[in-house]
Amino acid sequence: MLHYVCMLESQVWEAMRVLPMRPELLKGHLDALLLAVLEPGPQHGYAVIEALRSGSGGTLDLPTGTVYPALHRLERAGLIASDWETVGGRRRRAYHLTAAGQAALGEQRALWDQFSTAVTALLKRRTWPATA
Amino acid sequence: MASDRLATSTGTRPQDALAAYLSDLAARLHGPRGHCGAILTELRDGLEQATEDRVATGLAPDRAAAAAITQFGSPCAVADAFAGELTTAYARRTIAWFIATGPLVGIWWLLLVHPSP
Repeated sequence: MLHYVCMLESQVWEAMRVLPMRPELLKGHLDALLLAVLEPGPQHGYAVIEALRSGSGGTLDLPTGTVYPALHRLERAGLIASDWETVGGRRRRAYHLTAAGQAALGEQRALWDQFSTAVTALLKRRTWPATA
Repeated sequence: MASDRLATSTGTRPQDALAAYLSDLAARLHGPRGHCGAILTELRDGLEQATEDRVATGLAPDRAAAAAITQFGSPCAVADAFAGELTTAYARRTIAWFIATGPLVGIWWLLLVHPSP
């Protein structure tokens, strides 16, 4: 068990050293992060993706073009909605959170709190004796 | 000023670089035409915004466009990321088409095959 926890721990540290963050680590959380970025108000796709990058201090540095499909998937799921507008002669698609999206975000936050508390508690036990 | 720009120029006009990137991507997107068009319009806006943001920090326009393109990812990677969504869109459209035309085909079939009294 201890060996397993240590192994898990070393893997997590390994993952944290490799920056930018590995996409598979981010995959399960990307939807919640996008919803969180849209919570304060409507934004166009590029601004959402930039907020993801800058809000994470550059840790979540995914190729911008590959994040748009995630926005489209969230829209199809009814968690966000979009409107086309014309800004400075350019057609622009602005996204906003729906009521279902707001509820999903709340749920994801609660889940993350629970999960991160559990993982933090486990990973903190680094003073265990080496032979258990 | 112009010579300064030329000194750090990539030799490609920024609009041309963005257009080439988008046309490469367009060739790799497979799905309903309207859907692909909307994706390209949205990404063009994003690329132009990314370029403008970099120009505002003092980068030459062609360098800014090249950096924006790098940031967006290779057309191949972007098309791959969109593949799932486009397949879903295509499937939904096909199913809608069958639902819409099915009864009509059925009626014709009945009219043609039904033995006259």
